[in-house]
Amino acid sequence: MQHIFEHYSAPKDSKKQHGIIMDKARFARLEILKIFIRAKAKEAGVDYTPVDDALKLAPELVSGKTADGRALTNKEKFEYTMLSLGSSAAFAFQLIDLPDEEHAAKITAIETVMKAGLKLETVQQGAQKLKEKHPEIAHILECMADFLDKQHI
Amino acid sequence: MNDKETFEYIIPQLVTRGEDSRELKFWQRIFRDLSPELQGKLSKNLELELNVLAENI
Repeated sequence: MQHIFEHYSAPKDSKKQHGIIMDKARFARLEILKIFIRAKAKEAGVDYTPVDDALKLAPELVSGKTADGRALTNKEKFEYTMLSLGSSAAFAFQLIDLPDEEHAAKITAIETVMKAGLKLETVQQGAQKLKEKHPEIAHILECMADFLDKQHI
Repeated sequence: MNDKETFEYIIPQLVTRGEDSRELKFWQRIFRDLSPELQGKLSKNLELELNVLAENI
C-alpha cells in the first residue's frame, strides 16, 4: 500500500494537498473492496470476469462526466466506481445458478444495462435478492447502497 | 495494537482532518467481513493516510 504515496509531489496549497492525499488513499481502499468481491466470487464459483469487464462500459466512467455533461469530481469518480463495483457484484452473484446458455445471454443483457448508466437500485435490489444464498455479499452490497444513497450520484 | 484497534483508533483522527465520515463508516461496517489480510491492508491504508496528512499540515 506504500506505493500509493511514493510519487506524491506536494502542491503548495494545503487544502488541495490534503485533497490529493485523501483521493489517493480512497481509491487504494477501493482496490481492497475489489479483491474481497473477487475472492468471494471465486469461492462461490461465480464467473466474475465478464461482468467486471462489462462495467467498464458504464458511460459515466468512460466519459468521466455526469449524464448532464459535467466533469466528475474525484469524489464522484470514487462513488461511480463503487457503484459499478456494487452493480457488478449484484449481477455476478445472481448469475450463479443459470445454465451456460442463459448465462451468456444475461451477460449481454448486463452490458446493455451498463451502457445505459449505473443505478443505485441495482445494488439495493442485489442486496435483497442475495440475502439468503450469499449473505456476506448481500451485507457488503447493503453497506455500499447505504453509503451511496444521499451522495452526489 | 491489532489491526482492528489500529483501525478504530485512526478513524476519528482522519475525520478530524477532514476525511469523509460516511465513507469511513462504510469501512467500519464491513471490517469484520474482510479477511485478516485485507483487514491489515485497510488498517495500513488508513494509517499511511493519517501519517501523510500529518506530515503535510
